[in-house]
Amino acid sequence: MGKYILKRLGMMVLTLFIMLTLCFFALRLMPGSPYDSMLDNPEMPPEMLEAMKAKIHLDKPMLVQYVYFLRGVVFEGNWGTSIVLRPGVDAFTIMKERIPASMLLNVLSLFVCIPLGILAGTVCGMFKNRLPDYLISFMVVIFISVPSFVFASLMQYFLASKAGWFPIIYNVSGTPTAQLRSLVLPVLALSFGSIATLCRYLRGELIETLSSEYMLLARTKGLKRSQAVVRHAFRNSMVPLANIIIPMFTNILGGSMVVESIFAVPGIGGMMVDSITANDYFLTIAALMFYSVISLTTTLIVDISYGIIDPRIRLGAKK
Amino acid sequence: MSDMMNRATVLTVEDLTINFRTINGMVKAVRGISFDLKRGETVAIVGESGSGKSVSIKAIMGILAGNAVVESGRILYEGQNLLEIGEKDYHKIRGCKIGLIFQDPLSALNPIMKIGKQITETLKLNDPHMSKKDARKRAVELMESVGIPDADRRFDQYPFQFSGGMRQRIVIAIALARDPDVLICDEPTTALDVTVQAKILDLINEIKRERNLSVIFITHDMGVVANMADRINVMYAGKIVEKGTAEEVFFEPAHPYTRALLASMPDLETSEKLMSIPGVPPNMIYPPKGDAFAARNQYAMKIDFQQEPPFFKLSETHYAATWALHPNAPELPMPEVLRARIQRMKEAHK
Repeated sequence: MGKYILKRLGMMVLTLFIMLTLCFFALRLMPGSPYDSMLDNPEMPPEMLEAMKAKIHLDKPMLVQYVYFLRGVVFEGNWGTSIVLRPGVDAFTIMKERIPASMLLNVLSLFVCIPLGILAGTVCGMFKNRLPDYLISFMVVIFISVPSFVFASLMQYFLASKAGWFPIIYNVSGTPTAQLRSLVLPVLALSFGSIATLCRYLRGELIETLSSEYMLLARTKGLKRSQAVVRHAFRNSMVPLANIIIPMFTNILGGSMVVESIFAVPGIGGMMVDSITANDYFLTIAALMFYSVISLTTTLIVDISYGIIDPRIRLGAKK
Repeated sequence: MSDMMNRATVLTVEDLTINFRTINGMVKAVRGISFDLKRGETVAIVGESGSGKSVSIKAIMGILAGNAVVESGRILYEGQNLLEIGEKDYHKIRGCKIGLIFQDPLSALNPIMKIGKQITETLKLNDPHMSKKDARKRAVELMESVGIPDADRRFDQYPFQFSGGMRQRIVIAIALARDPDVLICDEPTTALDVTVQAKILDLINEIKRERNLSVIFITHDMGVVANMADRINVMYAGKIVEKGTAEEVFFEPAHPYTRALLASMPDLETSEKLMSIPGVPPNMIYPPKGDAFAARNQYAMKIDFQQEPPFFKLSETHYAATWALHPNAPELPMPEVLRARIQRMKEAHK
């Protein structure tokens, strides 16, 4: 197991390196430059512009720039500085400021969607092909097929703007309760899809385990139906579920990119969208690498967790 | 065999009729079967797939599928009709008084729960205050009694670490954990290798003797029945067509279906081609009129297709539902192969 994890970590570093390289060159190939807005300014002396470029090596050929950048990242942990959005500020520092808001949003959303998803899935599984199942399954189809930013905009319009129940945008400076209140809508928008995914998955798993032979055996032992369901069906359905919940984190993170912009949450998602349009090279790379690290880590955790949760894999591997 | 007649009756099934609602219509799975089980005996129910054997025992265990409808009948156990008692009272019977051994041990155990836990969970139903240590000790004893070597180590293993035969032994241990007095075996050896089959059958016979269990043994294999059963009920298309002691059914089979089953048993003694029963079992949404087996019976008479045969009495214990036994019917010819086979079985029996 240890060897396997080491191997996977090695692969992860290699993947990140390739990602970094691709991002670097792809961003440079995009039309425009970070200095577009400054070029339009007649009062900006050309020498000064050149000096600014030279300071962060942007005057050199692309390959040389790449080597400078890579050296900074690997040896000094220096991810470069922001050029447009917050000129002169270290990209890594900006990231550190931005991560908490994004994380808060994502973790809150996970806390909402895991219990609700499990509850909905259990109801569907237990009442298979009866009214509660039909109702929930109908909602599930809508929640899965409509992307989170559509819900975000709809809720912002109807619940915040029209009804006035919630603030329209994220409240950065208010009291903790006010902050939480302003997070309700973005969290909900992010949760719908995951609730639906979880529900649909658990429904299928439960129906399968409920009709299994070992459920019958559990009943013939003399267990009450509720005992048999909890000890045998439910537990067994949860095993594959763990492998749905962990990647859900990455999914929510992806959705939050746009939702953060809609509700003006000062997180990484909104910043990344802005930095791409502004050609703020180093900031974009830092944000992209953040997402890459998160998604690679979750996949690694999923693969390892298979072995830990399922005894058939855990013990089978020992031999 | 005569003392068998005087023993107390443990379980009685009377006129049990079970239908299943399906999209295509009502499947008449069990059509009015009656049989009883006496203390300490083994009653076999023999029949091919779809004849209603498993459905009948699921009804006894109270685990029929949701679309099953019990149309009529009674299942009497200790003076109670099991079809009428509530789910709450059923817990005092299911597992506790009547244990069940499943057909497929590979899927009957929870794949992600330790073997030991699956047994102690059952033990704790009898005595919820049993300490962990005592439960483990009892479970290991049970595992040893069903022939699991190295039981203490095996206690902490998972089902996938057990072979099919070993898993069936665990299923038997679970069925025995609460000391039931009736054991129902639903084709317990069908999913196992032939060499393992014999061992499991021996084990069932052994525990039956030791614990004075009454056993209902379901199978489609006449060869398996021979070594197990005191009495045999032959089922076809949801009905019992012949019933009698094992000797009677094996040596004087009266119903054409019983004869066909006996004739189709593989046999090492002869070099004859293995006989098979022509045709397929009837569609039970529209069960045939008359004798359901008539369509596959080469000696069928006109009346077999028109009117259902009643039980004709052959002896105090031997009955068969076939028009061939009617006084006016011509004698049913016995195929030479079968006659020779019965002769050999008789000799082997002596």
